[in-house]
Amino acid sequence: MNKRFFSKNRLWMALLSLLALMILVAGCGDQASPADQAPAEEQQQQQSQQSESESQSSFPVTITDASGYEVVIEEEPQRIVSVIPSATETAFALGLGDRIVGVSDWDNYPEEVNEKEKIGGLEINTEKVLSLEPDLVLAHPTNGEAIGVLRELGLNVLVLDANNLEEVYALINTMAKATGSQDQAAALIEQMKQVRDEVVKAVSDVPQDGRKKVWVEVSAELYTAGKGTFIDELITLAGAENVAAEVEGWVQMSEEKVIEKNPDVILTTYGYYVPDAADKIKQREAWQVVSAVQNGHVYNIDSDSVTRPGPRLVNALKEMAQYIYPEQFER
Amino acid sequence: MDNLRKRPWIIKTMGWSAVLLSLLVVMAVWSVSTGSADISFLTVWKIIAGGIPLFTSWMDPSSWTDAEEVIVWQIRLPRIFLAAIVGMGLAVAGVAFQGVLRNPLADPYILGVSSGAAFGAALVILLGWQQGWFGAWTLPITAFASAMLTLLIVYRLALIRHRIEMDTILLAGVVVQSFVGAALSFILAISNEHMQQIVFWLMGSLALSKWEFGWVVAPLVVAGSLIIWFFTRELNIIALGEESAYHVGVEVDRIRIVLLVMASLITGAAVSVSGTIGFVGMIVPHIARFLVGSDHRILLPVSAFLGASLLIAADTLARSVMDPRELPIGVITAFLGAPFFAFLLRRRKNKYF
Repeated sequence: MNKRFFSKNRLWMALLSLLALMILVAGCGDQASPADQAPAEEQQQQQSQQSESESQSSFPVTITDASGYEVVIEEEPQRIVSVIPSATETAFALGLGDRIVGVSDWDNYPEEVNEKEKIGGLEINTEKVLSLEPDLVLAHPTNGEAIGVLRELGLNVLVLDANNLEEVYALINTMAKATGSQDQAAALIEQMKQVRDEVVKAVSDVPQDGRKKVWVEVSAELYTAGKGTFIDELITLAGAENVAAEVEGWVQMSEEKVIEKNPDVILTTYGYYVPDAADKIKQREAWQVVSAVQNGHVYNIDSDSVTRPGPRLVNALKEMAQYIYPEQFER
Repeated sequence: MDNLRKRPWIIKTMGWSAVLLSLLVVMAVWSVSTGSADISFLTVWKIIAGGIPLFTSWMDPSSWTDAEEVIVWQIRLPRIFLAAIVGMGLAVAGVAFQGVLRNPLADPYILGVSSGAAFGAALVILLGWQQGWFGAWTLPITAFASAMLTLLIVYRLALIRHRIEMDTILLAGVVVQSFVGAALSFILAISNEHMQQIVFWLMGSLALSKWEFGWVVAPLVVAGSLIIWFFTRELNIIALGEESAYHVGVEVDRIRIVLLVMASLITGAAVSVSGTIGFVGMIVPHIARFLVGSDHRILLPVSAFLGASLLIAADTLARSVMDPRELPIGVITAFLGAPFFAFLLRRRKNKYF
């Protein structure tokens, strides 16, 4: 009995190693194929881009990025990997969509990202990034150690960061400089400023003492956005007052504080993964005394556009302002 | 009277209970008057009196706002109530586990109940079932069910020839816990936007407590505690060692199982509404033992009151230290508990377990 068991075990071991070997071989084959196709794609892209970038070709460029690192870009990048959704959105808005060969798992905008290779989410798969042979990697300080690792592997990593709207414009300009798309950047920023000004103008006649108080709920556990966040900046731009303005950054507020502040409007940013987020707030027993709940001014807003430092921030601004002061936009 | 004299422990229990009940009341009073909303001490008590039928007529509701009334009656009080129940449950379970396993390091989570509950809760959050079959109760019910399932597996693993060795059940607990822990890590790894919610649950919190939570968990905790208290004489005998327990004629095996199951049941109920709040279940029995000695008949009620007071205090700090931010209550319990425990260890040089 014992002996038979032993031999059975051995058989399994052999089978398993065989299987592992097969997977290994198959994996290698897979990785080889995109690289084979790459040159053809590249050629196509180069052809299409040549005409438009000729006027502004100023490569090589040297950029000091958000990590304080001097990034030298020798030639106009043709294969870009973006490991952070905000950079992907900005790159697409700059018309670089065709040159993007890899995006992070979190990426969901614009729709075209679904067709791009995924390079991991919380943990960046450096091997995958390398296999895509990018000549530029776009990253954010939150990518942390991975940035250094990718640099050691010889990749050109551009770290981009922005904490307010002005810095987003600067971020767009930096990315444009690195990719030779300054013209598109100027147009994009112009367009963003237009939307911003439109909103600011619409709410300009809201009197100082008539400003509405807004509670932005980032999660049902009452996490919110305090000073120094885009949400706080956008609320202020929209002519309203952030209930959580006294705290810094992303924090969990105490429930009684929110009720005491009695917000006029409640905006949630987690409606995309919690069904009926706004309705659930309206049903909270203790919140029935809150003005926003009494008047039904509880809305779900798009989370990504208010948290990602990218071109969609101004859309979020408009969306928020329209929820806070609908009457200002009716006319 | 004569009867009482023969049983000094009853007098001792009543004395300590009176003292600790006062402590509990003081804690509750402090807690209900503390918070990030600016409500004066007097107003808080007017509001409380206004809500009690007997006193309603004397109070003038116009001296406070609706929001203040809601803050006191629907935010602070349910939270204090739940803190007391959870604290009491964890402390009682801690006493039972430490006594049965004869291990000073035992805590209510030692048999993997908390990891089971955490796994269930994480699964519900991951799949977005918070409003599933049982409405707002889906998460607590699933957490409780998976905690009990974990306990069953541990129990089944440790059951060898119709007997359970304490060493075996501890090992079974460790094994199951690490497996469930791995499953939990897996869920966390794939949870994307839900990760924050899951981590929040894991850290334990009494924020957003409702009266219903307290009312549902309280009977379980109280009944379980009473059953454990009923067996405290046997716990004392078990503490002397298995051999002597046999000679006294105590059915050690069966009683141990009853106690373990009861303690796990209490723990599961507490964890399902508050998440895994650490340290209380391990520290409180030690503090109580330091105060009243190791007679379980006294130790158990004393631990219950102490646990309730401690958790109310911890929760009050959690919501007021960094006002208006909330801190995870587990941070506070460990911050308070660990140094205090270290202090006890140094004070008492002789072995007191």
